[in-house]
Amino acid sequence: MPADDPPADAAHRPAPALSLRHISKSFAGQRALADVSFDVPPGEITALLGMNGSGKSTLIKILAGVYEPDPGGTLHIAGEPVALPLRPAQAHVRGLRFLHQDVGLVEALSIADNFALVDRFRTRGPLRAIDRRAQHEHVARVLAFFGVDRDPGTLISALDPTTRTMVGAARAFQDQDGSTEESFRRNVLVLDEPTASLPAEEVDRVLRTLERLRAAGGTVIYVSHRTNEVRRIADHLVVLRDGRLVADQKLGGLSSTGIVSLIIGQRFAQEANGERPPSRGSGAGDAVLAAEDLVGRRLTGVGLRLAAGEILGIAGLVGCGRSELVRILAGSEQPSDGRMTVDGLPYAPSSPADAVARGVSCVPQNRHSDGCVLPMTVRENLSLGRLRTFVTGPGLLLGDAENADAVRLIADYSVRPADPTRPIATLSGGNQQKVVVARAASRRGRVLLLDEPTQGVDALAKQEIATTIRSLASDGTAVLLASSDFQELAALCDRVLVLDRGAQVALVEGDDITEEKLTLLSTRAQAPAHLKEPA
Amino acid sequence: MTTSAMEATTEQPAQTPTSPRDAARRTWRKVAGSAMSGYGALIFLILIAATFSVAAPTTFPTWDNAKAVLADQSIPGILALAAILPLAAGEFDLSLGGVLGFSAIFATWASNGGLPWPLVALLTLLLGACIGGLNAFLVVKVRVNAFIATLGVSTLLAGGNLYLTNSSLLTLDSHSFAQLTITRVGGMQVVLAYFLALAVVLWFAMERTPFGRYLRATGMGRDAARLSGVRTGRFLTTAFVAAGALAALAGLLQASRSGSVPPGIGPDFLLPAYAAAFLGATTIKAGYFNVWGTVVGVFLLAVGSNGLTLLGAQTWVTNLFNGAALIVAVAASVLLTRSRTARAST
Ligand SMILES: Nc1ncnc2c1ncn2[C@@H]1O[C@H](COP(=O)(O)OP(=O)(O)OP(=O)(O)O)[C@@H](O)[C@H]1O
Ligand SMILES: [Mg+2]
Repeated sequence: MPADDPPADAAHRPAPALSLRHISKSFAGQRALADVSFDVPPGEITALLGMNGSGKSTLIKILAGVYEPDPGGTLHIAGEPVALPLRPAQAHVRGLRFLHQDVGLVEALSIADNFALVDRFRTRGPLRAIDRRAQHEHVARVLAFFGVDRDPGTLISALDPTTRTMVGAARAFQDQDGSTEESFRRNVLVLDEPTASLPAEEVDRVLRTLERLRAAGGTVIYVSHRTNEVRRIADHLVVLRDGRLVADQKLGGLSSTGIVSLIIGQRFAQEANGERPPSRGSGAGDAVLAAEDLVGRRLTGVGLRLAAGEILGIAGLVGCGRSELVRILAGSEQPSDGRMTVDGLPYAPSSPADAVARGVSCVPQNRHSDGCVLPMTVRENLSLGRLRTFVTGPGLLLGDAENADAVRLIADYSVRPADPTRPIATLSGGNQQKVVVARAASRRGRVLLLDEPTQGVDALAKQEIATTIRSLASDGTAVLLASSDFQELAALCDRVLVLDRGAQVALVEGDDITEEKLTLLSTRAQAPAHLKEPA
Repeated sequence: MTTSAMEATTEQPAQTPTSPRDAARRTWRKVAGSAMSGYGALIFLILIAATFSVAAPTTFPTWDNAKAVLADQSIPGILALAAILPLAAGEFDLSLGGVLGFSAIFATWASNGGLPWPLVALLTLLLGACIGGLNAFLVVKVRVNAFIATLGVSTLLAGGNLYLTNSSLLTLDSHSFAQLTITRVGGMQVVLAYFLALAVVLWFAMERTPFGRYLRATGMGRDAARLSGVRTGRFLTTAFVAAGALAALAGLLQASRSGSVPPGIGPDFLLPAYAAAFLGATTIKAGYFNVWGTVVGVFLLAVGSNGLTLLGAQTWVTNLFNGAALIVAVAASVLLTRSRTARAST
């Protein structure tokens, strides 16, 4: 535990970049942070860890001035006391920069305009017209540092998720005077799960950028549920559990299981990794869901067969058409060509409701906009799209049955807090994700489509979701799992379809499915064309 | 703006009482939050009723005045109920005033043309449903912005009115048609019974059935609702069609009750209906467009202008009152929704 008087040894060492003391935060009837104190060493990368709902985002929002902490806490920035609660502008002036998980870029505007929104427009002349050249030069300089090779005039909507993350980070870190390198030394960049939905090779880009920031003297606070990332880049660990600080230490040589054990507070029984569960057949049975020659905006003729009880993985890089394939199968997007069948009968859903009617349900990729109705309660989100199950009499909603079902699902998926009447917006990100998965899985349909189902969920919940997927499959559900986490694919799937720029390049089966092989196959795309194997 | 200020606008307002103004605003929001989220508008309604009872003891708190207010507000009330259907689904229907006017004129015209009143009623309701269907087609299928689409339809209807009436006052000939609203139940005009019966039906549909739940999901998170298998297009369509039919019912009753319809009838009904709906969203079930809140909203506005009129205030005072009530209602509703959805993303 740090001493109560942080700047004491300032003479010997540089003062901590941030020094928090006795920070608490209660929401109506619930304590999210309890007396948290720790120092953030300057020029280092500090990983802020904890299970879903442990208070990480809450802490970050207090630093950003979005939430007001309970009275009694203190905060020093670079050795100087600042009054709490902070105002957002104040946090900015003191050099705190944030990248919240929903990156917060305006889709319809260009990269340059998004930069200007949080800083200012460079102007010229007495009329203060926007100086497009100066603006673009400034933005291009910052983008270059963050390894984004895009024109500042590019619209955000044209960017892939990784580039958006990088643009968000670059925007947060742009300096008012343009001398970016210089500003790194006095700034603290705080990133809340920047890699949660990014595939491995893209994660690498983000991590390399953070390492460059550190090399330039910058301080980073970083939230992630992926221990391998943490082991790679973190210098320092701060671990929260139920809103309390349980560890504040150097990373040292801590192993992945060591980190997870710190996080969950008990020894973590790592699932036999690499040891695959017995295969449930290789799609040899009758196909429940089949598709042939699907063509879409990205897809250029993809086909697949999915048998009952099978888990089929979809792997590939960003932009390979993974999510488009899921959307087409789920009826939320229509292919321009191709045929699909469910149980041998033609299947051409014109809406997700049609798909659900045929027994095909889906966990969409974007939790915030597509997964939950944020103003509604957990219960209402759980029963969304399947209220008919709870109806008795002519159109009457049966409150009790709906509630009982919600209580059961909340327990099964360990959603925290276990309160069906809370607005889902007040749940932590990982817990929202559990609700979305629970809803889709509870339909017990013929086919379950999952697009990044474990994004942002902690190690324990991830195992629980994996267990659920397995048991659904052994009950006969055909599962399609699109994931950028190749380890997850290797641990769960009977077969994995690898996509590259809209085409299928490989179908890996059984014991061939390893993280290395999937990585190799999907990055083959980057190699010269003549090295590529035909599908 | 700063990074975090930007975040604040997309996430949640910062709550930082660093100046007295901030502190006052925060306190106000807390007070408003707890009182308004419960029964604020209802309390306000009772307060102004009490005030007028003291200020105009001989005219305001009388049974006759109460009966008059209740009867006079039934038709605007039905229109306000119509408005909350598309509102709950997240869309504005600006044609509702136009539908009311057009169906009043159509009903009078058809009745004067010799059609028996049940047929007139049926045709009028069908007409309203069809106009709602046209709105739905434009919004759901063609994907025109609802604001513009319904504004356009409303303008079309105004043109239709002038054509049907030759731009002059239309008087109702049929006595039996007028009978539809002259009847009394328990000493009250029957329109009040229509209004309350409708309110009960609509309350049930919106609060107790999957229809209402899905309608709200469509308004609050359309993509998420659609992707989880809710036929959001169908619910939007139903909302527009039902709203059209209800507005037509209001028009039919208006024609029957007043016995004559001016060519410019309709648009004047729109603003009060929305005012009542937004006022309603601040009470009973705060943050949601809801039936009983809307009923309270209707009478809050009505009692305000009724009392002011009895006190001899001029029209502009009444306008001032209605305008202020609308602004306060919408502001309160926005603040409440925001604090309810205080997002804890990630
Ligand atoms: N606005 C809010 N109102 C009520 N409770 C909230 C609010 N925001 C957060 N909470 C609660 O505070 C606790 C901590 O949430 P927080 O979002 O900080 O978790 P987290 O550590 O970021 O989790 P995750 O890894 O899932 O993102 C949770 O129990 C959450 O439900
Ligand atoms: Mg979080």
